[in-house]
Amino acid sequence: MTINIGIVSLAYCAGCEVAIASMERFCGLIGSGMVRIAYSTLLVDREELENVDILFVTGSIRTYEDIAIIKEASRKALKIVAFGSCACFGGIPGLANTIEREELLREIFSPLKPSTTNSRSKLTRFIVPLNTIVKIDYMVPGCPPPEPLIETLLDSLIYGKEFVLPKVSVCNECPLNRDDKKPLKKPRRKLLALNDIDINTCFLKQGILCMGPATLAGCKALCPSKGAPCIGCMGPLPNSKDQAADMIDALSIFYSVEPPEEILKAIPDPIGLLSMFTLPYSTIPYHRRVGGERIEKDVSRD
Amino acid sequence: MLVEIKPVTRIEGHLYAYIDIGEGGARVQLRAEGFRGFEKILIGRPIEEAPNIVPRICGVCPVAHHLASVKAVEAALGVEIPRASRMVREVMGLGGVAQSHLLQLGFLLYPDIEHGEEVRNIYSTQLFKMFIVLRKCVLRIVDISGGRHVHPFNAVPGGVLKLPLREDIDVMRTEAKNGLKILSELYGELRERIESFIESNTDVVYRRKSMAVLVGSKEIEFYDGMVKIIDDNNAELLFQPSRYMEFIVEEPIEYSYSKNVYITINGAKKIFRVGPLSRLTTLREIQHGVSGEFYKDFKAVLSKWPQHPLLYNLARLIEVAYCLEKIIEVLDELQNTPATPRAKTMVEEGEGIGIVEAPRGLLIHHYRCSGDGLITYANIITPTTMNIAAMEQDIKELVETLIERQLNNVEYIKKRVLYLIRSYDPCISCSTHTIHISPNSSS
Repeated sequence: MTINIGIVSLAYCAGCEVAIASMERFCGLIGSGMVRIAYSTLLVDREELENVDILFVTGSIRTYEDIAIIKEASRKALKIVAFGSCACFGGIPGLANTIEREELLREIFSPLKPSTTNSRSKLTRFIVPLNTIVKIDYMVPGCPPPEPLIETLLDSLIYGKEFVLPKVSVCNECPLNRDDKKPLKKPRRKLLALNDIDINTCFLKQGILCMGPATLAGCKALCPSKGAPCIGCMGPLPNSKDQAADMIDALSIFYSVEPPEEILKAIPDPIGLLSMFTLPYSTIPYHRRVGGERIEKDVSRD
Repeated sequence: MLVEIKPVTRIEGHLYAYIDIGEGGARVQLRAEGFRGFEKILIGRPIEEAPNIVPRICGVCPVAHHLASVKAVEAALGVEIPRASRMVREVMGLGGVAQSHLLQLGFLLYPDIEHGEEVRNIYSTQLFKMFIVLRKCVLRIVDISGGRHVHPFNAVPGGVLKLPLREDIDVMRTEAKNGLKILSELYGELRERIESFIESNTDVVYRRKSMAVLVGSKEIEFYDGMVKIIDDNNAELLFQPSRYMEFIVEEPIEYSYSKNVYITINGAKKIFRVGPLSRLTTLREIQHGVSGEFYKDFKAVLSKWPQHPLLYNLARLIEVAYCLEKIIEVLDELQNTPATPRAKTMVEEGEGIGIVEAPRGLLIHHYRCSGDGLITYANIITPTTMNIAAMEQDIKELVETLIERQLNNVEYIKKRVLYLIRSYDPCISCSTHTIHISPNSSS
């Protein structure tokens, strides 16, 4: 039996596609005929999506065309996977949600006269997570999704095992999380902390922002285990509604900063640093409005 | 006659090609979609986060964005990095170029040189399997030097977070040597196929285009150097990256989320090409053993069909060998270099420009930051953005020649246009990351 996979990419960087194509196992599955790529503009020649067993959606929803594409594609798929943090939570492009669409557009068009022949797709007012447009079956977060997680997903496709996400945080998998949680230093800006950072000691203990406590495990703490503080690309834990709020919680347990505003010296850009990948998935209700109108979810799959 | 390719497949990103053929010739529009607005997203962010954010512009060449970004940050903050960390970045950069080239040659171009075989049949060929093993060697090198091959994070302002240990250096060297061995085995067959692919497309002769590359003291320079322009009349121009705004101009395109980029030389505005073909055309010789030999083959083909865009593919193959040999050379040196990972960094106001040779050509990152180290201005010019105008021009020349020869079957024209576009290996996500900030409004 061949499993037909379609990959529909929206506003994307192709990192998700590269991550999966870089796995020998994946290429082997295609070579042996177990898996067939039925659609992907990156990997195969087909111009139209056909009916598939499973649809991977990568990238962020940035235009009305993206919404139309995804609604159309979802009717041709038995199962839908939001693959990567852009599809799951909006991703880094979601940081544009704090910028007026008109401002973005003005700067693109500024040297041009308004045109009637403009053929570009219209931007939505906000970037929204995929699950606000269609019902999804699995979320595979990460920027890009880490290999162990993709392995689990492939297992579920081939052996029919249920795909489940971890339920714990990055700290649970982190080799730097060894002893007590007492901070050694006050919170400070990463740029300055780089001058004396010890890459073998918990970053939070050293006063450096590490998103580990508020970020879903599954990556085997890839960044911290290689010397870099977690920037939260796996998104929030399963029951969380807001990764930034979780991190603020964690920080308040960890440090006592007086007066509290002092924390802004260490974290000068709370929106960017605490919700770098998840702003459209936060408690700020972006997803309720796209382009001024209420966004219509396709409920036919619900 | 209207020829529409929607979407252009086996390339990175969303690209639609519109070719309108009329009495006066062909009108070509490459329409790029997939806008995200990174230059705007960067505003207000701490400057040290830029090297973490910008790799997400492109998952095929994230290393190049990571490095151009960290160099721009360091230029803004006035930091000189220790030698060892520069070497680690060089290894990461060379690995990034090699893996991207192998992705293009193996996954994107291969079905064309295999004469349109179905993808499934290709993945089961021995040649393809060797490709995968070769690429895996390169990926391990980037994983160690960069932290991760898709969206690396090891470079930080001042240097790198982690210097490879002695055993890491050994692993990387072994991978590079293994890679070179596999490549040497693959080379003959691949070169033959690519050459015959080029040859079967040489019925069309393309006009000379200007070129821009990064040059150092010798050979190909990927990490740092001056920008050299050779125009279509062979006039040369050399300038420091910090002066790019005087010579490289961007113009928005009405029908696309990308932009057109031109060089200005002797008062004239010209389209130009960047990337492997320009790098290897402007070069005299490669001194490394294996790639030096391969390069002679390239020169022979180049002299037969100068500047033919399909030569991009052969240039990529030669560059993979060069990258692997250069990686071994840099690792040997790194082993005997004092292990200082980072120089001291301070928060201050500044402006900086970082240019590297990305897999597809020159990549420019340009930032300003305020006294509290927050980004106030960002401009990013990617190689695909630079190449778009040259691609449109080449498509126009191709289509007009085909029509002249009565080869006006739409499917055939499409096929030839696709061969041409794929040879450039455009990265559309790179070219549409962006929004236009005109030079006047930025100051």
